[in-house]
Amino acid sequence: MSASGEKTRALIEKFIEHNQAGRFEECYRMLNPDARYTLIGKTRASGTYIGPDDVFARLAPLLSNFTERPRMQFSHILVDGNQAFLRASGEGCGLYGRYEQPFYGFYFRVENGGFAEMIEYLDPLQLEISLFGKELVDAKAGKASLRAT
Amino acid sequence: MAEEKTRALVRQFVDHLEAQRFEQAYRLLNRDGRFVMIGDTPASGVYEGLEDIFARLAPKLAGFTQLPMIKVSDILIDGDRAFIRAVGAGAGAYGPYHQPYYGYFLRVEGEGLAEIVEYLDTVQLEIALYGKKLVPAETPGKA
Repeated sequence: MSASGEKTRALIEKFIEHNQAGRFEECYRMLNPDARYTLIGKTRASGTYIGPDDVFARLAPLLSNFTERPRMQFSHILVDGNQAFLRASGEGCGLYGRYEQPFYGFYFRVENGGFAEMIEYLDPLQLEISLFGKELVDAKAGKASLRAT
Repeated sequence: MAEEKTRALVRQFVDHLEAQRFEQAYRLLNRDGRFVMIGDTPASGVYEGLEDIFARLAPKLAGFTQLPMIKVSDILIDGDRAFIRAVGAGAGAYGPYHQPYYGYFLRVEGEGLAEIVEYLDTVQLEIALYGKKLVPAETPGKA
């Protein structure tokens, strides 16, 4: 593995270690001050945050809707030079119910000893339902979807 | 060696994806390969093998009026696994379809792909393809 790959792997292992220990703030502190952190989707929590301060100021209050922070299991680590991907699954609980993400993904790009970019892939609908109390309805009828889940 | 094979398969997968040859992209899966579309949408789930994909998944994606145009920005390869980052836009029967953050996790086994996991904004599918919208829940916590 290249020297760049080794540095990336070391950072990813540290990220996992913080996550598994429930030190989520430390995970975000691995972002460079000008890093871009993106949570996919169009939920209230979704979007791109610039650096740890922005994450703590704008995202952290929304994540207080978790009554039980998701416990993650990391199944695959991919490292390619200064980029990496983590595949994971997680379960927790929000103000409005169970929160299940069987297919989490984290993309990272490393620069100058920290994360320059991090993208969190997840099912945004889980956030909408469990954290923000939403439901899907038929757009025309305005009636709740009767789909069996 | 494993990485070279992965790189070649990923290259083919990306070429098919960017040329909107989605069926050909799926056909890179082994006969017993697994395809996962994340979420709880009608199209979401785990599909076991090509026949399952074409029998169950394809009809659920028939609601695209304009197939997503996908552009790959990053490819990561580590041994027999890869991750592809992409953006995409198209249109469904109920409106425009935007996926600024597509992701594909691939795992190679034998001469083909043993697994594809497609990451995307599931709510976009619900709105553009299945005519749904999000509203405050009458009984929060129920899908």
